[in-house]
Amino acid sequence: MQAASHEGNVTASLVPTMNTKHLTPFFAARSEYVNAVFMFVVGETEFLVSLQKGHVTDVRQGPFVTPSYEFRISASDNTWAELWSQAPTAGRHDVISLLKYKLLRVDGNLHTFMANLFFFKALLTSPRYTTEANRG
Amino acid sequence: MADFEPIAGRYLNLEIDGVAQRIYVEEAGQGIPLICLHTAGSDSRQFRGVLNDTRITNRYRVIAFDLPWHGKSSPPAGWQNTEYRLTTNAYIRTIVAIADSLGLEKPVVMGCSIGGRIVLHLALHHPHRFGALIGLESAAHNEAHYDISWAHRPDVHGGEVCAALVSGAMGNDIPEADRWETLWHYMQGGPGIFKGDLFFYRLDGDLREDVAKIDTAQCPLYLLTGNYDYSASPADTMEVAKSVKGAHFTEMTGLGHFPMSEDPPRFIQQFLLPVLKKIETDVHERSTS
Repeated sequence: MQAASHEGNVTASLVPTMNTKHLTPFFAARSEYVNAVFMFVVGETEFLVSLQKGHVTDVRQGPFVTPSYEFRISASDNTWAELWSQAPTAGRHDVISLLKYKLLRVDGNLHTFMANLFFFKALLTSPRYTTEANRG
Repeated sequence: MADFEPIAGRYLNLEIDGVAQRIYVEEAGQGIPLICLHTAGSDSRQFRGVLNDTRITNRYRVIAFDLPWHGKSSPPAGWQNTEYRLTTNAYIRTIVAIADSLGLEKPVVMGCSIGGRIVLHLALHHPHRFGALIGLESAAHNEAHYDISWAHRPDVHGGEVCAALVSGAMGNDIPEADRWETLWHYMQGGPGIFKGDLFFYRLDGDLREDVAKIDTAQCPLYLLTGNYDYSASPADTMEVAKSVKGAHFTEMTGLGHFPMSEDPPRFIQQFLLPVLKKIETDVHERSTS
């Protein structure tokens, strides 16, 4: 692991770098109809991420009281750190792969997530490409 | 002059289980018959590299067909009144019927994913019919890691979600053109076909109880699995290899669930050619002994 392999809350600090600015035309074309608020969890740290027309409009860090959201995606700090590293190991490189190995959990109303799965896979992996450390 | 590839595609009319089917078959080469079986929800285009490689087609008659409901093999008449579900028995009978129809004697069968599973069933139930079996991304069982109903419902684009579900199961540094062609095939799958194939992959084709009964003395078994495959991981294939005495297992570093399609040159050069050479040598020794 490189760059995103940090201790504890440092990985959580990369959550605001999750965005869609770097998306290639294929993924950008699949963002127009994505509107959602979802909960994103790094270890014990919760974030509410708001999307409008595929753009991240807000990232708020918890803790929350009675948060409202469509679905929740959670994984450990180390899992996100490896996914966001420049060269994740095989099996730790993809959101669906993380599901297979029970390293990631998605629950709630998954319609928006599944109907736009290409988009969300790109969004959730985006800190690999958007952080200063990884760009360097 | 037209730049045609050496692949010839034709339609084969035959009955399978009493149902008239029109099967699209591609062929190239001469020699030992090599039947290629595509993955769930895709079609025979996955074997374009194998069909075009003269190092193979100089010695093998490569045959790749689209399963009914896949690619250019349309569903049978009346399909609108049924729900597509691939079963173990139907899959076996389809392979045997096509091999018989083509008059193939002791063909080698190479299947990937669901094809990698069915070669294990062929090894168990029909070893005498085949010269050798090659399982790509083979496992005796697949544990569900997502709800397959998402792959077929009117409010989710089936092609998009199927391709997105498998897009990560490929190597990290494969050619981008091959990565995206592989995904395009998934995007073109008919509605409900990937889901119907996974009925076999997840439920009906579960072979855990019987896999150890495979006798490789009757038919050699080669297993090749990419380390980027999370659907049938190297660990899953290793379980098969541990259970089946005499099975040959190779982990394919840098490849995933679609080795013949995601990086054909690397798959053929590093992993397939050595296996085909061994099979050819064995066939020659058997014919001279």
